[in-house]
Amino acid sequence: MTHRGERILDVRALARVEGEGAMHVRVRGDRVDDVRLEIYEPPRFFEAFLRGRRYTEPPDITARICGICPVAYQMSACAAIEDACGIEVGGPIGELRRLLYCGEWIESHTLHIYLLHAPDFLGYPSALELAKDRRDLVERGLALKKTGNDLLELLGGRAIHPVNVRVGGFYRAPAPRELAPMRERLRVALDQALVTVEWVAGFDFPDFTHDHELLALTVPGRYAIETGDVVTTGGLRFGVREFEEHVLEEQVPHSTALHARLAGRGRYLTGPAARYTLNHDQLSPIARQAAAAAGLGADCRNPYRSVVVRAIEIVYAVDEAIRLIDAYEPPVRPAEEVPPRAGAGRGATEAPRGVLFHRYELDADGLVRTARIVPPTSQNQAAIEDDLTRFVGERLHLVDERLTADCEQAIRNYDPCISCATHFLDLSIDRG
Amino acid sequence: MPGRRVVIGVGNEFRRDDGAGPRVVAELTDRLTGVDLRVTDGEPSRLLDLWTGAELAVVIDAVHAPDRPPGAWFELAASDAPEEPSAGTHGVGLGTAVALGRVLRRLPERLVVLAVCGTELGFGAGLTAPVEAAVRPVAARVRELVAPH
Repeated sequence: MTHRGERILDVRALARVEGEGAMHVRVRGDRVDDVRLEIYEPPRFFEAFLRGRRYTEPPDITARICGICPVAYQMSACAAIEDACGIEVGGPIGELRRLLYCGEWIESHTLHIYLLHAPDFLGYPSALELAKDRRDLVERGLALKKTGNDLLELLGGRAIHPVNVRVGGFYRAPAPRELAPMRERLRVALDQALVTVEWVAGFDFPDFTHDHELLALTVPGRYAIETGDVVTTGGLRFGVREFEEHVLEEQVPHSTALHARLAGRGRYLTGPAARYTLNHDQLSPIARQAAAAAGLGADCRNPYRSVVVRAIEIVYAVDEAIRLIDAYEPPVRPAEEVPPRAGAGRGATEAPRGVLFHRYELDADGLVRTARIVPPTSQNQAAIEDDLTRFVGERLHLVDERLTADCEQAIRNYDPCISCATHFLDLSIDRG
Repeated sequence: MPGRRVVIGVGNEFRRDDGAGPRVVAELTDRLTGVDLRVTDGEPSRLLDLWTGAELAVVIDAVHAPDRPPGAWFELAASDAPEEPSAGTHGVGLGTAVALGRVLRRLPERLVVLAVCGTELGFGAGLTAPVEAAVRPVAARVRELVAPH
């Protein structure tokens, strides 16, 4: 609404982001005066909830933070606790973890593309309206997503909040013959994923770029998912154990989420576009070819094109899952022994939405003394706000309803996982 | 031979009364035979996957209904489902799943929703007392619904 030179846009609920939250934009004259994302952050609750728990419990408890990325929480928790206990888990167990994680990438990215983001580009208010006109498209997305779900269920025991993951590995490792039918389904999924890339590459992308420092994990020889060092486009490189020396969090009044920034540098962005920009050389040949055909260059700095990167990452995750199944040899035992010891450990993995960092401090009895979780959405919050400040500034001529809809789409570019980082989203724009 | 019957508890047990659905499913575990018991977070495509092809799906979900007392519960058919009856923690929920299922022709032959009125949906484990008191009667109603006729 508009009041005497003041302009206020108010969206009571932002649709099609994972959860809820709020966004406020204040405009004075022809200048965007303030943009604030209000975030109510579950990980802080879980940090308190974890204190005093057995060191074996965080993977199961933190998996409940988010129904969309439980594997990310489990993998980062396992990595941090194993680090605290001085145990390195790799080999066939590490490969099985990567395979499980591929399932989550397929599922999460497909959900975002087909049910949350594509309707924006195609002019539909929701996936429901899209399905009324293009049932075939939504069915294709649901079939692709189901393959990810079923891979999760096969390895994790169930599709949400997998129960087969434990510190040290798994309760049970599958026999190769159990994976064979999934391999056949993944072959079909690969075709669906490639068609998805072609489809989203044809969307109309607004002309908008940012210059944020991009941050992702990296590991030699493969596209980083379940492990790696941290690198940035600004030339920083550090191990996960040094994460807290480089990534500082500060309280902001409008949010229960902490704002992350790089020490001495400022805001940054993590997530698919950062991964692609920093690691695209590590993609498999078929994913690289798909990226080239889709017109992605050496970096991705238009947030709208992140939908293409997600599609490329689905291709990669499906292709990588096939490779992992072909190479699979069951571990001698499904989990490494991880006896507790006093100390602190840190772990980070690439959740679908970006780097997810965990730190745990254990006592000698294996009880959690402190826990810290830094989810990707709160890391990206400052960069999202900065983008929105520029974005709104370039669109002040639009009527409130249209501007609000455009802001919602802009926020969805980042696929904010509100279950992880917020309970989203009211949007208000105040044109003063 | 009867078709597949599935009971789906929707919710998050770390969001107080939002955990009513999973709690009812836990109450029914090992007490029903020939019935698929599942828990999910309400994300529509997962609900579609769980109930597609079923003869009967019973969904238990928490709802926010300020005009009704906490722990009150009521029964809805698919045709009654409003766009967003759920009090879940995601942006799209049961109402969207039903509407999407209708468009995609992926609704079960019969869908019954048992909606439990919650009062506290913030972070924390455990149901409030009035919602906990509703668990057994809701579970009893599920047993009636899934009993072979």
